[in-house]
Amino acid sequence: MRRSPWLSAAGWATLAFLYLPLFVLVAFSFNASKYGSAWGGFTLSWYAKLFSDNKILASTWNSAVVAGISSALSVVMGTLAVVARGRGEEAGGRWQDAFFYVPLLVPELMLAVGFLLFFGLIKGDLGLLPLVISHTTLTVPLVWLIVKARFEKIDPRLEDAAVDLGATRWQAFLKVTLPLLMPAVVAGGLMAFVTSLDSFLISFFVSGPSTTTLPVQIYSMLKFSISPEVNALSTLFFLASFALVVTAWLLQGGEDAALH
Amino acid sequence: MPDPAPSVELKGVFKRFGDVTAVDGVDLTIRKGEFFALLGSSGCGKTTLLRMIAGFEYPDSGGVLIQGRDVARVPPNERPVNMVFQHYALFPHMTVEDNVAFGLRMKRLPEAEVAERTAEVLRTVQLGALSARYPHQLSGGQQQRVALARALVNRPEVLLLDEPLAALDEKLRQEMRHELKALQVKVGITFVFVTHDQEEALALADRIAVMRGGRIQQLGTPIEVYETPTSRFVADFVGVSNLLEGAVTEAEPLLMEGKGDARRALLDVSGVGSVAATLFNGVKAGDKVTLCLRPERIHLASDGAQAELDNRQPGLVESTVFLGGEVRYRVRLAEGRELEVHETSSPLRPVRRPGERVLVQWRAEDARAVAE
Amino acid sequence: MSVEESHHRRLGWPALAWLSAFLGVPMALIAAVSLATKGPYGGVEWAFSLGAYGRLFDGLYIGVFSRSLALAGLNTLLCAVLGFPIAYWMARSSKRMQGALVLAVLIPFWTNVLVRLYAWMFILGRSGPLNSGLVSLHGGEPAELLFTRGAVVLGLVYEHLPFMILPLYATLEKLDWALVDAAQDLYATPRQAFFKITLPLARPGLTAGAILVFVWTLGDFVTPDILGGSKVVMAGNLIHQQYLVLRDWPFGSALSLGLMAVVGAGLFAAKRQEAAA
Repeated sequence: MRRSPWLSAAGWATLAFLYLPLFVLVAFSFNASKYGSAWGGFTLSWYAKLFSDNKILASTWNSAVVAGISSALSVVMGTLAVVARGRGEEAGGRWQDAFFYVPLLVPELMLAVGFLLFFGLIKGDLGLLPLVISHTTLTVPLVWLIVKARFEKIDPRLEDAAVDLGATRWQAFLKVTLPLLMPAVVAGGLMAFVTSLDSFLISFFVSGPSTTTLPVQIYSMLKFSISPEVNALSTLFFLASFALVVTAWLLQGGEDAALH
Repeated sequence: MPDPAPSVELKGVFKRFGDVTAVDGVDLTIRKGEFFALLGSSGCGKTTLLRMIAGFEYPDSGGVLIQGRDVARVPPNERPVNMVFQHYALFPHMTVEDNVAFGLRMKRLPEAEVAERTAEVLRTVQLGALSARYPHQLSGGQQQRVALARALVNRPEVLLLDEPLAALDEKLRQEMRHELKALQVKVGITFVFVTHDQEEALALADRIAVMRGGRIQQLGTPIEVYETPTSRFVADFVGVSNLLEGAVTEAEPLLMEGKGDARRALLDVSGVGSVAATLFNGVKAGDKVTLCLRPERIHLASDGAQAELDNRQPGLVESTVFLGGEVRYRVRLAEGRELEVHETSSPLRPVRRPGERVLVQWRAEDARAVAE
Repeated sequence: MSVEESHHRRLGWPALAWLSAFLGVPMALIAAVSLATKGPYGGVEWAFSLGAYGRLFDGLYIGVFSRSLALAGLNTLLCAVLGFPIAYWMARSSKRMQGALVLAVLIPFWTNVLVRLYAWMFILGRSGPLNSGLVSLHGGEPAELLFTRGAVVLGLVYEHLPFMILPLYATLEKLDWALVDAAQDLYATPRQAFFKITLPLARPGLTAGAILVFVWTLGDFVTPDILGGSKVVMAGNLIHQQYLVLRDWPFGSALSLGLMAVVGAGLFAAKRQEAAA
């Protein structure tokens, strides 16, 4: 099975399966013809239409605000939690870990339903707050996981060495651990941003008529009013996630060499 | 010459981690300017002891004195000691220069002085040309020298080294032994290092503390520890020994200059027979003892040759390993016991073949008996 | 641990407090609401009732649950069969290539679910590129590809395949290929070496991937909703319907807990199987 041409054919075919639909989507977002797959010439008009659609602009704004706030919150809380937990494998540390693993294991639908009840029972207009709270709950564990993975690769003797050379624990953290942690913190923030931007289930259950997010907007377009505008919107959305994920990836991989 | 002032003193130091006693009552004085080794296998407490001198661990009880000042509860950044960490712990995001300057900058020295002292110490360790490199761009030996420079630039009272040569390959390690020793003489700072490698301890140290189970088993110069082990453990751990169980049949005082309470004795050793040996630390007739016989102190002669030494036994070569500079044999004695024998190779001396009959002999003063 | 490390323990409190509040309380609410009564206009009336649980055992809902389980099982199997060759190929590629390939699998994974489902909706639609292609080749009427069970299965596989590929790859990447060489040296054919050595050693990755695919499929409601029209109902759709359409929160909560129990049982079984192996 090793190095067999069939194997690499299967590999490339699977990649094609993963990407072909997305490429089709991108290609047809430039199709001037309104219906179906007949090619009616190249156009950017669907993109132009997007930028004059108030509903889409409003939901994009909502998504950006929610993703910005919740990724900032989760970066701060997640990073602090990693640092506070330290490297110990004692019972206290394990017990803390469970807090962060549970949201990663519970089906998103359960979280969505839980938040629906939570915010449903608090009556009154909370604006974007329910979205921020629910998305942050989803992204804190993600940041924690990414930052923790890097934290564990940092030799604890580095901080000891700094203290040995006259730094206080706090200085040692600021001068040594934090700079080494930084790529993961930024990557964690980006991934949190993407996750929040992507989150459909939770947003769908939690958002109200005035707090529609982009995925919720796309959902209602799919259900009620498909037009090539959706292709254009999906293309932009795909490209945004693509850029964020690739950046986060490069950040995480890039400095690993320096840590041996 | 008067005894130099102590650099580090440990007084009745205890340290437990949960149920494990890591350091179990250690008293130790390390002299100023001394190259001192803490030798032992993993878990013997040597690293904990080093970390207590550095300040990363505080003792549960007992005193840690540096230059006469009790620093048992002083954090590492306020102690006049610096450490070369295992695997060096060089800051990967800083250049060689910034690594070395770190301690001086923490002390807020003027930047001109920082630059001057950094450059000077980098010259000392011959790394001046590499000051702008990052640690991962350096070889293992170069990283080691950066770690040394980073600690030495602070002019500590004591330099602590945690397995300083363990990360290097064999050839480089041999080289660095010489360099490290020369460096220590040059800077004149007290060096305390931890190692599990007995050869390294013998090669580098002025004095060695052999540790086991959180206690010091034996303290002495490399020659003392190697030549006059006071316990079976030390005899086995430091160097290679043939360890033979036996009992003392008779003992008489031996008047040898500088050998303290050494006595000449006859032992009855199972699998060997009657052996003339040297006794230490108050072993009496009738006591059970362990006989330590270094492989290089056993000599082989051709079968039927004139016996020259106190102990002689006919033997049969079981196996031969030729190592270039040295030949190693397993020789079975007539009474059944097998001995390890090392001989320096020489064109004047034949290499014995397996199956060859030989005369095995050794001196009474090279056969040392210790209480079990 | 070092002497001073305990000092910054409390930096972790904000995250722990946040998760306790916004994870613990909503989860507790699901349990509480499932034991309450439906209000006259939806919502909850806090009167204790086991009624919601009684309705769980209605044949209709048991049917939906078992069909969801079957669909999740089928999806897991398909993902394993499709995911194994590519994961194996990735693991045997050069180190540089491996990095690029992992990224290539991650990108669709991180692309919005709706974008990905819409792509298929567009392709499979009556006037989509696939149908136009078929019609121009064979003529006749466009086929009904969308809003079928097949479309849902396709969507589920498409959506969850990376969940299988990534853990499988992670396991295979660490595999010591000398073991496979050793097996072949000891007269195993490549096929025998694969079944006797590679596959058993890839098991942890396979299990992890299967758990992820299974759990996430069971919790899915968007895929059947978008690609199945209203023809394919899974447990997720049922829950969605109870909460947002019928506004029967107690029953929705009971259904959610039922789903959770099924997922928990699945995880438990997988864990026991893994421990036994």
